[in-house]
Amino acid sequence: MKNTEMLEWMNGLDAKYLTEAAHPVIRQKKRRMLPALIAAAAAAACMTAGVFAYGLYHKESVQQYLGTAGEELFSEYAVKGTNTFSNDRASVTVDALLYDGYSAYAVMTIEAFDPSVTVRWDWNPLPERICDADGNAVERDENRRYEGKLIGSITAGGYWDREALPSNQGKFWVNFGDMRDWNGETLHMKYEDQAWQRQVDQETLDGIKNNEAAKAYYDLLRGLQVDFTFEKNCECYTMTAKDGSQVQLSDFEVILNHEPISDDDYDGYNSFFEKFHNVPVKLIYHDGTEQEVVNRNYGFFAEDFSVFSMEIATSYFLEEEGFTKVFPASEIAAIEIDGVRYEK
Amino acid sequence: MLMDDTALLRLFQERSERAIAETEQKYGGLCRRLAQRILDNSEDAEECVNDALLSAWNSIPPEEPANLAAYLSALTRNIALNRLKANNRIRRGGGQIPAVLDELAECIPAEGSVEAEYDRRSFLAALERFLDTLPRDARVIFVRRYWYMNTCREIADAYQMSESKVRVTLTRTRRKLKAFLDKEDAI
Repeated sequence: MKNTEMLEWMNGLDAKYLTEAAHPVIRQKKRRMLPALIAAAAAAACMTAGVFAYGLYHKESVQQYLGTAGEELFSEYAVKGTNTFSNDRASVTVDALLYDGYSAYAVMTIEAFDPSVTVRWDWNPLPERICDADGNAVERDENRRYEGKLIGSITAGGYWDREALPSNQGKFWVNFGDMRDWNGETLHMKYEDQAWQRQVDQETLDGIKNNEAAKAYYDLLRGLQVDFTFEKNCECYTMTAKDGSQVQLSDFEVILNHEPISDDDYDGYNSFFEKFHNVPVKLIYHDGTEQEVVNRNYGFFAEDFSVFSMEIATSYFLEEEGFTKVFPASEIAAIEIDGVRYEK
Repeated sequence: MLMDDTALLRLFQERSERAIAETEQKYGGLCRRLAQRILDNSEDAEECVNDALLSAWNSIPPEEPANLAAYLSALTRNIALNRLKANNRIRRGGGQIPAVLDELAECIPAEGSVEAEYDRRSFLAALERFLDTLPRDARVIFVRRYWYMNTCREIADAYQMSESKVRVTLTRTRRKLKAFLDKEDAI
């Protein structure tokens, strides 16, 4: 095989890889937050436009990212209420928020009230500005904390079958990297209206330039404030191997370390990452049933001071029929990672 | 207002000539940019896009692509690479091709090994198995570079990361791909 053949043969790559690569994974970089002054100017709009309501729940959104079994499981014991936030143009619903005391995983639905508006999968579902309950900007201190509380990297993205959903709706996932300081606390975040200008002017698979799409997005959501309330709602158990090493198993992830990894320690991060990524993982239930799962590690982008966790699921691509990424930790007796067995 | 893909496909199926114009309006830029990255010549890229649209017209129906953007991109990529080959330019490039070929050369299984005897189908199957083992971020960076022929700078901008991190990720992924192909029983 020659490199020229490799290049040509690659043309037949399954469309799912091409589509996935066209979906930006949006990484919220706290160091790029807008100056406080800009946010303060937008605060008034937020306070008048922000409306809070209970009751909406988009089952199909949750199933998209937790799987049908995951959604059933999660809705049984974790959903205490759903939060919908809106302005006069759109609503944002936090349909699910899994939190195990270390990190969190949310599912959100964005819906434009005008049915002719298209919600796009490459929009950034994350509000840009971290603020207080009144919408006033909160800046990070020198210890990289917000009002004394650490926030790890937050990543988000979205993809869905566009034929199966009205064009004015979109469903997104959000991964909060390190939220150990947030049990019982509410993180307030707000969409800014200048941020679209920083988008890269690059044509997307839909033939629309990113910055044009981003402007439409911020026109829709600007000033809207979304609250994420973190109440530990997932089980989390310490699992110990024979050599004494430990991991934590929660309903939706395996926590591998607790020590923050420095921003500058890129090699240290990668050696840790390579030790655990793509290793075989098996769950052993109390009744003796064994289940092999895949390691869908998203930690790669989360290099700054995050909990290093392993996301497990029944398949690599969450849109595949019948997948799940939520496993009841209370029913699991042991987890085997790369041949090492950790038991409760 | 751009048409959605269902409406576009309906135009193809109804053999409406609007299909070409509407598709060009929506996806022309995407295809042109991809062709330009391969051919490094705007006239050639333009012809390549026209050929891809014609090819889509001739193939839909009976084809019913589930993802029209990916389908058109694949047509464009194929036509652009064939054009380079026909002009005996594939090694000299255009655009991103010389750099991409140099990088892919690092992934070739060892010369003379049974595993080096991949054919198109077995290589694709092996590559897809390999991509499935990668974390999502490394996978999309790989596909962006070697399928879409994005520069490292473009990938870095799209993913809000440093260019050096993109390069490091690609280097590690290529190393892993070579090891994977060396080990993989592709037949």
